[in-house]
Amino acid sequence: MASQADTPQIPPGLPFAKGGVLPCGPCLALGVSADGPEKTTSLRSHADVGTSPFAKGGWRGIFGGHNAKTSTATVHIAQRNPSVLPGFHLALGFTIFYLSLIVLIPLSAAFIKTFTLTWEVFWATVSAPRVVASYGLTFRTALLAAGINAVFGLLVAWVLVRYKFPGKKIIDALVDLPFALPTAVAGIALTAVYATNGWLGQPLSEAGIKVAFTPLGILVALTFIGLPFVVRTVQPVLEDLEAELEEAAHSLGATPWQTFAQVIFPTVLPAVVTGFTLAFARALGEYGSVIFIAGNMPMVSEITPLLIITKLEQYDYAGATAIAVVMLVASFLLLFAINALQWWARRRRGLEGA
Amino acid sequence: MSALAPAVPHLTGHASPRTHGVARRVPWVPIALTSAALAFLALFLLVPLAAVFVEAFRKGAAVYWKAVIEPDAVSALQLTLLAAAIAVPLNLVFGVAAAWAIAKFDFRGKSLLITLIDLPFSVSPVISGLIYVLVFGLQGWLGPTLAGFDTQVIFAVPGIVLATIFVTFPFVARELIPLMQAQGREEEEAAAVLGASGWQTLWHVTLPNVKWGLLYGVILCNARAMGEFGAVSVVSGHIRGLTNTLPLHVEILYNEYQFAAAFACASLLAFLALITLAIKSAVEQHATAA
Amino acid sequence: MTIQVQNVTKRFGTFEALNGVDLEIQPGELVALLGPSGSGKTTLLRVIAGLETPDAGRILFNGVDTTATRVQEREVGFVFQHYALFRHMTIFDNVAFGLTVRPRATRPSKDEIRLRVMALLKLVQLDWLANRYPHQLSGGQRQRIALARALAIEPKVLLLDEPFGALDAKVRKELRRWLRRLHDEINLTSVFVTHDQEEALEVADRVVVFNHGRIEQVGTPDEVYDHPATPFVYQFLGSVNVFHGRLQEGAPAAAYVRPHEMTVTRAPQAGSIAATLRHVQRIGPQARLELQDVANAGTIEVHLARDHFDSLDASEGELLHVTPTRERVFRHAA
Repeated sequence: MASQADTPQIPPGLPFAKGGVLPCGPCLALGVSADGPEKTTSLRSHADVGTSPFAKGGWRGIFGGHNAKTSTATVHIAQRNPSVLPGFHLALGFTIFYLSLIVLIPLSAAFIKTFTLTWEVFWATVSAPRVVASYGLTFRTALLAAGINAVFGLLVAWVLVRYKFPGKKIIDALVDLPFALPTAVAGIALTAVYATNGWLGQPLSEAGIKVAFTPLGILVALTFIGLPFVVRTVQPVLEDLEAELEEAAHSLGATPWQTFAQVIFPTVLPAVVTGFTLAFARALGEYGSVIFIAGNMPMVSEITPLLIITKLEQYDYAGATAIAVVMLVASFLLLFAINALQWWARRRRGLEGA
Repeated sequence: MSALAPAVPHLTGHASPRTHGVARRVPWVPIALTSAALAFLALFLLVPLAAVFVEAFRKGAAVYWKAVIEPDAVSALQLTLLAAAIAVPLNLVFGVAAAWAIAKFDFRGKSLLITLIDLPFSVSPVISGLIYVLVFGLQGWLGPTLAGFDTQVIFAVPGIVLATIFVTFPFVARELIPLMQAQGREEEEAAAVLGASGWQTLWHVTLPNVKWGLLYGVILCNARAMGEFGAVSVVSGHIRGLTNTLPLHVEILYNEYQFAAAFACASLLAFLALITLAIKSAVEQHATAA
Repeated sequence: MTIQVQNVTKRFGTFEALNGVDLEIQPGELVALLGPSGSGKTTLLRVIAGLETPDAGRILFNGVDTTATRVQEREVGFVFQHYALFRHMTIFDNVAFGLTVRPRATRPSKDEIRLRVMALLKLVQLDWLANRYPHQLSGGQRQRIALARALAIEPKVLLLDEPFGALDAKVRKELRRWLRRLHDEINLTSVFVTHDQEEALEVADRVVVFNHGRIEQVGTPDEVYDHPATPFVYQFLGSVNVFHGRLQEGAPAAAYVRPHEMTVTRAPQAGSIAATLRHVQRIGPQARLELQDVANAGTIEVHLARDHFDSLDASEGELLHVTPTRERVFRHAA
């Protein structure tokens, strides 16, 4: 902090007197710091300002509205810093209304419905052996399918980004087929292919491997529907990967394998994990593609979503809802994990970028 | 399948000089990796896709044609188109509104809102149908009231439309939100300074800038709307000629062992999926070129 | 038009972007808001435009309070830092936008819009680009189109945010002069934001130096450069040597001396400082000396006329004596 000297002339006794005598003794202990602007902090004191924490008038106007004084009695979600662009309340209001109507209220119905059950009945329903067996099956096959997709998804993404081969564009487009193809169609197609008289089922069954109507068939269906997730999350990260990074690794003497393992893989890992989690979440709830190929044998190849349908067909709404709530809670935990993962990935990228 | 055989990969341009040295020899690693990737994709994508069309024509074109023009199939197709024609525009309007609020303004709870919008993606289709049964079914909250008005939602067309809206809810929004966030607010601010109203800004500045993303979202939304099975299956009641969508019709035919007919109808949906993929790739190329 | 900024305060969360800023801009003036990033200069420009609402204070246009006037009705021309050209519209449509979005009652006819847009494109010397799209233009061309678009609505004031920030050095210099000439031609009250002192000093009639959300000094380029009001302005405008010391009454103080406001001699002078010549760089007619203070090993930068330095006949490593010819002393606040 420095206060301003009043005049450009030098008052007596200051360090430098033009043509005068250099002041001596203890008054002069000159130091020099001449390179560039020094970090001097705010210098002039100013009259303090009357402060109001929020912008005058607050947010104003609705879409196309011209009345600057429109003020709503109830404050919705307040903008942190009011923007000049109009339509905030209309857009956000419609968003929340539609979200509540279509998603939140119906979803809450599932939770409210379970309250019509006593805890004992709820527990008996969701922990019945047949139900527990279905959790195990659903969870195991979904996890395994997501694992297969993590490995092959990374491989496919790598091949699509790095290598050129005929038909690459078509292959690239086809990766999204599981997103576009109705699950029922996928289900009957996979069943036809992997049944014991099918194109692939026949040679496999001759080798002693039965796919359709076994848990293995479920795995095939879940691998199919989860296929695009890892490819599509990893692909952009690989594309953005700077060639310089690899060149630097090469120039430092790393082998291609070392470069992959120590430079590339750590960079794409968050994307692989995100894709894996998305594929896993999708597989947990999958129904259409599975029921045709699964065989649906209780305790063996019956997935949890099918159990919900079965209960519904027996008009056991409370029982179906109880199982649904267990699945919903599992999905929400996964969703939370995905969000945490993405946050982690962003932070990682941020750190690497710094 | 034949696309597999001549796959001779070579390294792309930006490899380092050292890798070029490797590339002059036979690039075994790329060939092996490409072959493995293509084998995986063939096994899981191409073979099932081919199976749909082969099975559909197994009993000849006449059987195929008969299955496709059968009245139940036609009415199922009509219902599928109707559900998509209602669900897609509604979710489109929602997507634009949500993206406008989220991308152009700062407010508390924004990330929570984004998470909630994504929620339908993490809900099993079966549960998506179930929750509407719980609200509108005869046992549900509004079922008795609706019955009083002689209106039925569940096991009727409105239920199918609602379930379709639910499962396709996030598609447009999640395409638009990141896109509009990335584009920032400067152009909208410029329009405001030049005197444009909110609607003029939205119509002349914002939407033209996101048109490819919008189209992309609409295509994905439409594909899912026409193909949804689990959720619709729960609310439909499977009434032939009335509450059957095309995917449900496929299931019924299949369960009745009318395989050729089932695959004939399935081939229509598969064809639709291929068109979706083609438009999607075209849009992607346009979007990256622009 | 006169612009009065009265006691304007603006916070973003806990960050205080503007802290009680007062400023008056005269009709026809070209004023530069100069300061480091985060000093509040862009925020003030956006507050004047109506793109930000101040937490406190007022903005007056010609004495009329416009703080509550919507940006759409403020009739300001605003040139954004990255131009914000509408990328899907042709250059013509971009410039015409402000006229075509007017309500039917005040909208000029199609022919009139065409005439006005083409006249503006001629003014910025880019009428041959009317049918191109923004991405087909160079940075300098986009900048001029952004300006033409802002002028199309016949604004009462022109506001430019870092107008040359995104351009390369050569284009920057050309455009700077061009903007100055254009301003003299159309004589519109204009305010521009910059962090580049050279730009501010060369182009503006008056310079407003910002730091930490406050105004440090307002003055003509000569005033702020030759008579900086605060140590911050001294350091921000041009390079400076800072000598720390004490006043005779014992208060700590610092003397600020510009490199060209020093002489160098072989013999000690009254008030001179002994320093070793470390390095000399001759740039055109100027010699830039880097010396090391004998007393405390600090670096002193001196710019001399080349003739003067040559007549000294000094070589690196020699002991010389440096005498400030002009300095400002600022007392450290207790």
